[in-house]
Amino acid sequence: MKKIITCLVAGLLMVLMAMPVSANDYIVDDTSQKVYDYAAILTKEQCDSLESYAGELSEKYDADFVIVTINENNRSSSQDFADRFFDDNYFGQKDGKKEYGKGDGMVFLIDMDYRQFSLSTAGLVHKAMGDDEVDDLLDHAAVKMSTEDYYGACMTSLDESADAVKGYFAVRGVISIGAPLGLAAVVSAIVLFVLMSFSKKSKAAVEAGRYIVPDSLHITHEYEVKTGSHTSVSRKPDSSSKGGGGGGSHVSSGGASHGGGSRSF
Amino acid sequence: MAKNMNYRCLNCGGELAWNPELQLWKCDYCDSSFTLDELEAAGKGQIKKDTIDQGKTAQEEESTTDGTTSADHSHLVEYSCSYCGAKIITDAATSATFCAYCQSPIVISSQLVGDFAPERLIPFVKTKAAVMEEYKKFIKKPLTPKYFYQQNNIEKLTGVYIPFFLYDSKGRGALDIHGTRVTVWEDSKNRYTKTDTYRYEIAGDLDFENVPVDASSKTDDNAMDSIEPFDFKDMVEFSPAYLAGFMAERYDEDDDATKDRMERRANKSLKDKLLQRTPSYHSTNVVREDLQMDVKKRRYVLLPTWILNTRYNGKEYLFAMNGQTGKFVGNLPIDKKKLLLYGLSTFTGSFAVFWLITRLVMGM
Repeated sequence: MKKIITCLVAGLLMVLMAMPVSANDYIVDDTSQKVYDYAAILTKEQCDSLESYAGELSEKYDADFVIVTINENNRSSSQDFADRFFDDNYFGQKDGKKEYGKGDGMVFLIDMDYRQFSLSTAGLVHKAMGDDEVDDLLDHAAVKMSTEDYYGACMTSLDESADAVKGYFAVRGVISIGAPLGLAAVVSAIVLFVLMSFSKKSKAAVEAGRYIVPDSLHITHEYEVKTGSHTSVSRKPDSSSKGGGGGGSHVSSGGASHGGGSRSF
Repeated sequence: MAKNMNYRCLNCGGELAWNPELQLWKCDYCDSSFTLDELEAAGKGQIKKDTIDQGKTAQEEESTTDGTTSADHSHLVEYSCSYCGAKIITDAATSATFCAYCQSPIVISSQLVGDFAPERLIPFVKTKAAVMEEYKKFIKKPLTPKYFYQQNNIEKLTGVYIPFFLYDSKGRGALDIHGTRVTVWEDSKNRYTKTDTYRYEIAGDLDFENVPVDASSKTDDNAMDSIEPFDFKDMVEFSPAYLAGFMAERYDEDDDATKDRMERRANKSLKDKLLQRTPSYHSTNVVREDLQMDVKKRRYVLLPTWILNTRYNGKEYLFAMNGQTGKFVGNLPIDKKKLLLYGLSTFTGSFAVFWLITRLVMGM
């Protein structure tokens, strides 16, 4: 009897565990938390360390840096899950706003179901990270993932996305001052050049074309001969382009624009 | 002493001067105007000539006039104004001027004889008033120093008949040219470039008429070249009467120097004309040229010019206007303070505008 009850309970548990997880299971109440280890692949200390670092970055750059691990994915892909997790939970929104797909930030997802890890970027972080930056991040994370260093992969994602945002702000700062300075200098130079040209009104005649007697040109000798010929051959450049890496913009199933990419592990 | 002539009104005896607007000689006292024929028909009774000290040559008088024995006096002449009797010394090349004391127009006729007698001239068409207005418009530029706006400076505009040589010549030229023609085609893998080289020879001659060259060493050659063209159809037979009311110079440039300048200009045009006949090449290179100019005729004429020389910050600035067509030439100095002010204000204003635009575009 005892054996029968044990088997029934085990069977019930298996059925329960096999039930698909609804999308609502991944809706969070408080976006101040940045690390969601649903797959339980990180230790508590690792979660705390990542939470502290992600929180610091989020505060510094006014964008949400989020880490998610899952065992079950009911979306079509890891990429879409990462995108939707960010948008559906309204991460990266300022001043209590809730505008779908308008947040600034990133999600690094480790999907134990599809055996993929994905990066999803939005808003400011999407602008800061181009294809090359995304590819580099995924490549560096892949090295960590290959040794099951999930914590290392998460830290790499936070480091490199933060570096990209920092660099983006630095360039914007330079452009916001440098561009107006450069343009103002060009405009001033043009204006001064025009003003100075008004002061000049003298061009000495160097030829006597207007004093030529009409129809007086008389050709006494005219001769043309070909003296040589030479043909050179050059190879046409190869127009095929290299295969591109990951990254690039895409639209999630929720309709918002994201950057990012995925890798298998 | 030099001979000079004053032209007097046939009605009241006042000073006569050429009026560019009327294209006649006009008396400023009684408003009468006269044609050249009328003046010449009036004859000796109307033209008062200065008396010449009999037995003395102009050369002897120059050396005794001012009491010095400087060897440099050969470029000076002395004349006596027939209006006020003042004795004035002027440059040997001057043939018309104004009495420094009574401002009467004087024509020094002894400077206009023999080789120095012009064949023809173009009378002034533009009046001093018109020139002053044109000059004021010209100097009204943002960077012009204030000094140039002063009326007493503008009043110094002077009408001057400048001596010119007009050359008729035949140019003979020969050019050897190397040219290339390039053809390019491609197939799926390669691009082919075929370059054919050619030698082209051309020779010919070309006639020039009335090429003007400034024959006074006192005037800036570039400025005189710049006020071209003159319409030589309006040239008239020379009469000293046309000089009344204006300054005039006789030529003092070396014939070789003026001929060189004419040849340089005409040879360039001859070369350009021959090059126009060159077949179409992708690139051309003149490897040999032989250009010669044979002068057939040289005429000495006087052409009208309004001139203003202004000295500013130790430099001379010349403004010249074609006295027939009104073409104006000149280079103005730049007021550095105004330049700095314009530069700074433009820079500041542009920076503010571009900074705002950048912030809007970047969403900052």
